[in-house]
Amino acid sequence: MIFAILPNEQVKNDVSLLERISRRDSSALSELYDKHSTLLYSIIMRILKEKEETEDVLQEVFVNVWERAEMYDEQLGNPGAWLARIARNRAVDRLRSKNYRTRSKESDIDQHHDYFTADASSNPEHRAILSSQQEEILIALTSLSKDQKDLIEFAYFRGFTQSELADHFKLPLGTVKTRMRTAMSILRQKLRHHLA
Amino acid sequence: MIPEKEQFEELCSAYALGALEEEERSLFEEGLKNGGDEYRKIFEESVGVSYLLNTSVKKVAPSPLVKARLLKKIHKKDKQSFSFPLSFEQIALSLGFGNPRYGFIISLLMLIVVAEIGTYAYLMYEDAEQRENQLAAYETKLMDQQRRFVALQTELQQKEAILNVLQSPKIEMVLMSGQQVNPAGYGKIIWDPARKVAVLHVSKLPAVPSDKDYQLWYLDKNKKPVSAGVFAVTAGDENYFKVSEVPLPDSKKDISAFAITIESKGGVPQPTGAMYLLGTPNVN
Repeated sequence: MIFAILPNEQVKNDVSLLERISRRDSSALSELYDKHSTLLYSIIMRILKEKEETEDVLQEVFVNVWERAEMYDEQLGNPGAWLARIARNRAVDRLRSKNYRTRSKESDIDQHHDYFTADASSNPEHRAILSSQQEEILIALTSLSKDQKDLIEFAYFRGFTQSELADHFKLPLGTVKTRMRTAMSILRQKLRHHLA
Repeated sequence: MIPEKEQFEELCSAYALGALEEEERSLFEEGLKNGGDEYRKIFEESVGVSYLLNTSVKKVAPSPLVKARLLKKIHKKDKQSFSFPLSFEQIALSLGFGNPRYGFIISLLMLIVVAEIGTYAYLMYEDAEQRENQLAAYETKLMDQQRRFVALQTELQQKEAILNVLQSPKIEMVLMSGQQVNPAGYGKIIWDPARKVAVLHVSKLPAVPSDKDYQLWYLDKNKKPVSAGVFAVTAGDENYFKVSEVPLPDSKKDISAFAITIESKGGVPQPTGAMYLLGTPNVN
């Protein structure tokens, strides 16, 4: 059950906030914002890398929640995961609409950059405040090959579909699918106790 | 058609990472709907991993203004979306009053209902308006506090820089006094010859017009003026401090005077404007 990622009480509380929001209770939206805005803002910022655009998309996400809280479906994950998915999708839409992705230059892969661990490992302050769960995720990510991490980075944080990834990395589509499946399978195994 | 397990894993991975092709969506949904518990578990774990990936992101908090803007926006939207839900005719028909002989009674009832709703809507509007004003006031207050915070931060940095100069083992200081155009003014310059950092303090100088600057000069041993930078005093700056790197001579013995004149914006190569402050080193 995906709910296991977050403590049960927290999930229940989020679900009840969404119910209150669907009854137009703005104090519930304010509370939900306080709980999740930092993570959502960080995800959007990671994708768009521009403060103003990030603030704009974050606002869009919560306006969307305000208008469509009743669309939340527990089957698709806990409210935190649902919000994160909306934030990621909105940011990727913005990325595409604004033509941020100048494929020839900006998205060219940096042969030496490790997208997932660079921030944490190069910044001692950030490292120091990582929770044990974050540490475990970063450790799990280190068990992936550079090729696998690149695919995850480009898919999740840059919005590439599998066929776009195949074009970009000049790989057969089947190879992209296999690598992505293997990478996710490794992560599922390594992080299973958070997911169980 | 339900996809094979391996294929479903690929589809789930792509879905969880937002990379699923549109034409594969129906196959993925078919597997999720009819694949049973095993497929459901693969799906949940894949989505769970993508959620955990988010926590690898460096955390940055948004500015408090974003929340203020958001709440303001939703209040505005709610106010705009308020409208009378049904027409009189629809209400009358839905109540079964289709017969014209009930016309008078229906009209009367409608009037009462409309009056009630009108009063309620007005009260709601007032309340929303009040909340919006309150929110705008909070937002303004927050912005003021942010400005104040930035100003205090700048002041603190400046004071730290002044303390650094004062803590130097050797400092030089020259006092300056007001001249004919502004006798009440005074000032001083303190510098650390080793680090070439100087603190300028001026007091009671009038604010400069927007097209002018004050310019600090020192006169070398041959009384030749050398520019040591420009600054502007704005209204309300009774005491003005500036800390900057200035290549002043190592000893005040090499300086015959300091002066401050008013010049064109950005400064001039040679002094031309009125002199506001002047000071000569005491070399005893």
